Amino acid sequence: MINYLANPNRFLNFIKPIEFSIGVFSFLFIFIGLYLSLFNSPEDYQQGDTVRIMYIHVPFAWFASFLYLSISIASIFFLIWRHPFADIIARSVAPLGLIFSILTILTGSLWGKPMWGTWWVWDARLTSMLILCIFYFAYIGISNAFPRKIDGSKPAAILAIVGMVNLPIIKFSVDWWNTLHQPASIIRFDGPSINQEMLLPLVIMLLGFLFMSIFIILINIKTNLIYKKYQSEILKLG
Amino acid sequence: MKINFKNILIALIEKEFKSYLRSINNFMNMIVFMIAIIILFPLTVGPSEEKLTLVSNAIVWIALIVSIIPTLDKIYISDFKNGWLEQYYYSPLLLEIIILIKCFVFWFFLIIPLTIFIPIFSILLNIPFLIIFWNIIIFAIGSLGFCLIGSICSSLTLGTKSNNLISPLLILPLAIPIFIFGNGVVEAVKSNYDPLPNLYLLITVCLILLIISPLISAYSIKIALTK
Repeated sequence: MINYLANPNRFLNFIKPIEFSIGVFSFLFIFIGLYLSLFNSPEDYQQGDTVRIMYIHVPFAWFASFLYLSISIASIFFLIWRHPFADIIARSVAPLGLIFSILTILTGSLWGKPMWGTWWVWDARLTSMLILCIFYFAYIGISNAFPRKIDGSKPAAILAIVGMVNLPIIKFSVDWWNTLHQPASIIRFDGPSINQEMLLPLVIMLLGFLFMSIFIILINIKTNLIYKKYQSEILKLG
Repeated sequence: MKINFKNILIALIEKEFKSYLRSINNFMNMIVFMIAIIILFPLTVGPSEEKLTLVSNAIVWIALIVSIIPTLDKIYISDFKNGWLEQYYYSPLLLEIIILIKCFVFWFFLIIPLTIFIPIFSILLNIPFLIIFWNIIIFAIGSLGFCLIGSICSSLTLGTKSNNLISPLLILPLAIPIFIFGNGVVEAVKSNYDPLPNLYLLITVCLILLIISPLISAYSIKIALTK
């Protein structure tokens, strides 16, 4: 399956019929999720209405780190099997991840101001998220820093793999250090500790974000492929 | 001259040392930059001693780190332009070993001399002697890790249009463990705890870098050379 789809033309043919439906799914899920989270979910007994920021903050944060993981996996594929398509995937994911990590920090600080009384604290979870954001910046910076764009692929891939160290630190920072950020409440050994009525809209939002990020990444991959074809056509013309 | 490992090693160190002597301007720039930061901080924070004692240690650290960063990403750039790196690549010695030697020489001749300035600046900022002693130890160990990180970053950015913009972005996130554990040692000394656990962690980070950094740098130099 992966071998089959690794060819850009076959990939484009494969996604052509399903692309639109993914977009529709993402719109539907996010719409339903937003409705449920804003109007049809309980207030938190401590935080009141501000808890509703969680329904976008958590998906942003999760997908910021998942997208970085996918960049590093694609980079490993690129460095080992030297398949140019893996590089195109990694490059297409990076801008979206950067935006997600910035929005995580923004929504987090909007949530932190009423709850913690401060926009920002230098605790482990927040700092490691900021470092993830810097890694995204560095990845995009180094992949575009060379006179020929292709030359930046391998250094950027190495950087992406080096930056993978940061991911477990983000995940476990709330367990390893005493932080202001609340500990994990969904992915735990003893099952989610979050209220069921809050979990449902959150899961729907997560699904919506999953479809949305796939949709945007597919569009990015298409643009990058077209750009690459255009460049090779120029080379042919001389 | 017989060609064996020892002679190659001596020749390499000699060559590196001479190249640093010839670009002594870089070193002077670092020192001027450091002095400027040390003078600027008391002027901007305010000369009152209570405020300064809170941040005095941080000022020394920032002066050292900020003055080192601009030179860190230039470990390989002149060798890359002169064609030395290609010679290293085709030499019978492993590229990793040459990189390790280069990092050590860079650390020994360019960074270690800066430790002379730690006591001077610390006395200017009224830092107690015990903390000066620990600062020198942390700096000597941590700067080796810092050089190894700089080796990764400068090899990754070989051949870029504008490596000055990216290098600090690459260096800072990777160097954060060194800052955290170095600061941990000083905090422990300040509050009369045992500073050794944090020091061991700092040494661990540097040892891990000592293993990983030459491998990554050699790989990315090979990539840069085959472009």
